Amino acid sequence: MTRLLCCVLFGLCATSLYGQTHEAEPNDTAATATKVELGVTAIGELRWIGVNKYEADWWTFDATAGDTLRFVSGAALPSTSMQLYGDDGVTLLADEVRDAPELRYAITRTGTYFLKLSGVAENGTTPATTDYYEIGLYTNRHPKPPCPVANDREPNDIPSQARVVALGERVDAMLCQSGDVDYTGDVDYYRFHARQRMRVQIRIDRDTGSKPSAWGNPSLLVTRDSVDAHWKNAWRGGSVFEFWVPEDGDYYASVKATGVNIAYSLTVQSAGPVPPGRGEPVHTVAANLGDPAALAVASNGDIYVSEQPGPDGRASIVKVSRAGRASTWFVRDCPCGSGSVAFDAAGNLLVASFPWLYSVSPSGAVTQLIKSDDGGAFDGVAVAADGTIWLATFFDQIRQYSQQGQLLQSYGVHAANPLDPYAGHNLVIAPDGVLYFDVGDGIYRLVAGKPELFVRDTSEADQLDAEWPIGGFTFDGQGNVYVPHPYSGGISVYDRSGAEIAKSFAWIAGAPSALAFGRNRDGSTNSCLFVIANAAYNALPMPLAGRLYELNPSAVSEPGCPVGAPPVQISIDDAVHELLHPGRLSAQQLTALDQQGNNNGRYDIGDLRALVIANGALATRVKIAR
Amino acid sequence: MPNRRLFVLLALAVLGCTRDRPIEPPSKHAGSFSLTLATPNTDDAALFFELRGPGITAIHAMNSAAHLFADSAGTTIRAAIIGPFSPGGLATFDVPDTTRLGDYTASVLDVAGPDNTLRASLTGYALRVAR
Repeated sequence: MTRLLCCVLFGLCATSLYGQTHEAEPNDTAATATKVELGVTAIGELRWIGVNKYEADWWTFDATAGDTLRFVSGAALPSTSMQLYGDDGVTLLADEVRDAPELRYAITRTGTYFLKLSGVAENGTTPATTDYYEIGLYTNRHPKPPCPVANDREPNDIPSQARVVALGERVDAMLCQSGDVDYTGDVDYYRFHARQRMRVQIRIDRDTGSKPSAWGNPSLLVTRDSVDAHWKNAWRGGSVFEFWVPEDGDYYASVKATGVNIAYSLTVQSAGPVPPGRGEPVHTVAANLGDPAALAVASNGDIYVSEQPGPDGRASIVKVSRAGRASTWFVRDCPCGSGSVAFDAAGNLLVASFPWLYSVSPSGAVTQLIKSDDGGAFDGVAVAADGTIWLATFFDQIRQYSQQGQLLQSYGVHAANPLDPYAGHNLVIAPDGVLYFDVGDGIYRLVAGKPELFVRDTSEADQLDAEWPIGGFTFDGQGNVYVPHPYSGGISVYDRSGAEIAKSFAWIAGAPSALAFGRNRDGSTNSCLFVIANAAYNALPMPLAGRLYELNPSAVSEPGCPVGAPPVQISIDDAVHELLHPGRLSAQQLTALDQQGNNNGRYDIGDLRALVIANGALATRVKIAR
Repeated sequence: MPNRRLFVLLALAVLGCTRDRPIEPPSKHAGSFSLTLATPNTDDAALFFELRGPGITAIHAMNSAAHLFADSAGTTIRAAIIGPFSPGGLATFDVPDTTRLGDYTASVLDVAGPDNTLRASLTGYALRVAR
């Protein structure tokens, strides 16, 4: 029955019941204008003729004094604009309403009129070959027909009116541009319940008939509480949006589009849970890290996390000990830039800020090392085995500098990935010494000064609007690359040839954005694999709920995690007993307790207090240790 | 006759082998002492201390929001109390004989501040047992 209803709705849109008139080329001048009646929908295409513009389409119609024109454009592309001319085809009577795809005019003299449609490409865009449009030629005597009733249970234009949809249920719906209040079109809200780790798939099917695939292309926005957003704009071919659920709860899917009366069907379904990966369980090393941007691991095992600016405009670099004790190590000057960090051979931490690349010595002395120029702010930073410093600039250059900050080479990598003109967000030197960088949905390597594709991520769940599914990446000693995906929370692993090893290697209920291996005292990496993540990637305001996680080290093809590696699980009972009667805990556990506490080199009452606080309030106020 | 002698011998053997002591009746002097803290600071957050004396039981922090951990072995009891607490009454404990106040002493071993760091000096700290 629903399929039948949908077919009927699609049929209504496509037949002359709505009164459609197609253009008759040539109609590029008033003299060759296509004749049309008021009250119908005028349909045509503007053809790109170069020199930053499209051809013009002219329409002509007869109007009677007293007619109030209200022409509404349901264009698929935004460039189409309308102008109304008098019977000479020269006298301009009215332009499109500012910032709205609508033209209004009160006819005072019965006669013939002309409607001109024209278009220009927006700055910076690649023009489409054609610009499809539909113009509703409504008047007070020929008003816009009502929207057909569908199964989306209008009104559902706001979250509180959302249509509740069960998993697996198909809803046949209709987007009806009102033109009265919101020129951007109708919006349909749906609410569904999902469980943590569920792979929710939202499928939207449309039949565009003979219209361009981009016509009335709906966009989908999935939200939890109106701040945590995942969206998708490309629905060609009945594609599916996949969303890995971070926590149990109700979620909203809102669908909207420009265009006139767009029929579609929506199905929310579960593809089962995200399967556990070998990199799990994931262990929390430290919390309360603000909005973490990047991390680097010092040779002594301490982890340095750069934070994005907080509400106070300050951006810190936090040092996290292997036992998870976090302390502010350095406060960056702001504007803060990307915050990418890397250690050089001398143990200085290089920090990509704006407009400088800072070098911070182990004692905290700051040196302005390299200043950014017209290449834009520094983005990624990496240090090669020969000590040279590699920097990615915001405007698509990767540069090599000497240790003293002298420019040695510059490589343009603009053409690496058309999806993303701003190349080189993260720079990483692989074990074989080759420089890798990520652009859009791909990881590339610099070979003979040219970008060469290494691996591309096209997983639906990893992609937000099909553009930036990669947070950062790192290599183990074998050349395998580990890639976190901020949108899905998944972490993938590829081998040195780019072949997929595990996907998902691990999953985090948040937005993992960068990772790094632990280091031994000789600088080599070990199997401690750390990941920074925030609660969400797109939330506004951005939550300050950053965490540092460690993946399961046994899943990593590296020598083992050194002493002190979490999880060092110590109960309060054991910690109390150790304080009252020493001898129960190992040296490793005592070190961990001390580092989590006051880090004074021995286990004491202050460390016990830190542990009690970290574990929350106790059920019993008096504990007798025997 | 042999049976009666055997019975007596068995009874003596049982009495001789048992390690149970007779149950003592509650002392009419049983009661509680309090432990008071003297401190040079106003923001102490955790205290590690020793309490010495016979038959100590039922140690309780006076501030119910504090966490008190103690062992119960021997006459020297080690205990840790994690704030909040303030100068003055710190804890109470039960003793079998409140007439023997002089048998009970206490001393501070370590004190931590609100940032978990240890006080550099324990000068000015003292614990006193009182009725």
